[in-house]
Amino acid sequence: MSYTESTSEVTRSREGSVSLVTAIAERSEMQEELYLKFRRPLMQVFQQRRIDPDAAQDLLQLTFLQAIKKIRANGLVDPSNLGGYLYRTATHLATAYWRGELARQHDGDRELMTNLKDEALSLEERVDHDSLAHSVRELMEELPGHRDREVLERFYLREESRVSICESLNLTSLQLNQVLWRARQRFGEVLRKHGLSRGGSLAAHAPEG
Amino acid sequence: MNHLQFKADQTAAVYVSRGLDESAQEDFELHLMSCTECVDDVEAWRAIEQHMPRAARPSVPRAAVASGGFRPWRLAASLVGIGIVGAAGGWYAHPLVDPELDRTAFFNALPLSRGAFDCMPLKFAADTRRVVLRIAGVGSDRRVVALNARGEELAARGYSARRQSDGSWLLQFAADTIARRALRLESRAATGPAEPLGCVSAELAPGG
Repeated sequence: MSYTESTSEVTRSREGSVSLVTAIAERSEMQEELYLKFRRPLMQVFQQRRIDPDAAQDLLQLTFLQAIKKIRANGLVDPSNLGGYLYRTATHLATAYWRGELARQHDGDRELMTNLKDEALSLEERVDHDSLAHSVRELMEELPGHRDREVLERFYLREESRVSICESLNLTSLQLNQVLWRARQRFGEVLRKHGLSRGGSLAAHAPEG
Repeated sequence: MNHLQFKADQTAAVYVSRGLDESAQEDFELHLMSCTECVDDVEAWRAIEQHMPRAARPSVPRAAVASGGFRPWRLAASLVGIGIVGAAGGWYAHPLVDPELDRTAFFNALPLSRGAFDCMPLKFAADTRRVVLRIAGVGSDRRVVALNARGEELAARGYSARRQSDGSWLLQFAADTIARRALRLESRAATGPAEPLGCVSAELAPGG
């Protein structure tokens, strides 16, 4: 995807949000579309805050529920920013969850979950654990050079910062980006080879320079 | 920041490693709401992070992570031993050298072992005098605090927290502080909401 295409996607997304808000306000059956558009990024928001998948499902339901109620009761100040509203709602719910202000429910809409289209599911949800683990092992084995493997291990296993990794391996920030870009490209190829990718959406852009 | 810059900076990879500061994380997460390509990238990096071969992991075996446990080190007396642990976990041992080292329990809270809803029990002997907890993956603009059940920060006499040169935080508690109650941990920045880091409680074993 090029920059222009991605910018167009953002524009389309904002226009789509206005239509979606209008449809929800008019009580059309748009729940699935709301899910398709925002479920995956919101799941990442919860995952980034170390919320387990079951609890994240509950918080996701609450996020959508609050948004639908708000749209139908008062509308949104900026309907084109539906994503921003959902994001704020999700982060507030995540904080409330960790503060123990939300009851533990785990009563997410399992039927809806079962019927969700593939596009609404994350990579972890679409692909079974063993296949993903195998793909990552394959990636680590195929990375060119020990240094590329070491960068990933230090990045994700030892939680070292970019600065620390660059200093100790004598890499520039650009070189580190290139290592990450190569790994991301290679992982996309591994997933495609095993039929696990979502189509053409896994292409990555080379770092500048 | 625009999409091209996020891609050029490999922001998705850094995001998953929790290496973005609060403001950059918010910018990127807002961008995710309208960019499926970047969501694909984040999911791919998340899979790489979570499925990286365990043999390479420096300390916590998968079983311990899955059960949500912190990994304790009951150090005997050897400073050499501490140095090895420190090298493996990026933990700098020199500030910890003191005469009561053999009554100090050490725990390393990796991101994967944090975040469960229930409190994580820290298992240490009843004769332990001090508990040290290392927390990595906290944004550089944030500080870590320990709170009681009412959400109030513990008094300074009950614990101390400081950032190490590798960016991780070391929290030191008097053992009786943590033995009496569950403690919640949060990271706080000058502005913006606090980020919960989890909850810890004590599980005492007979001294020895």
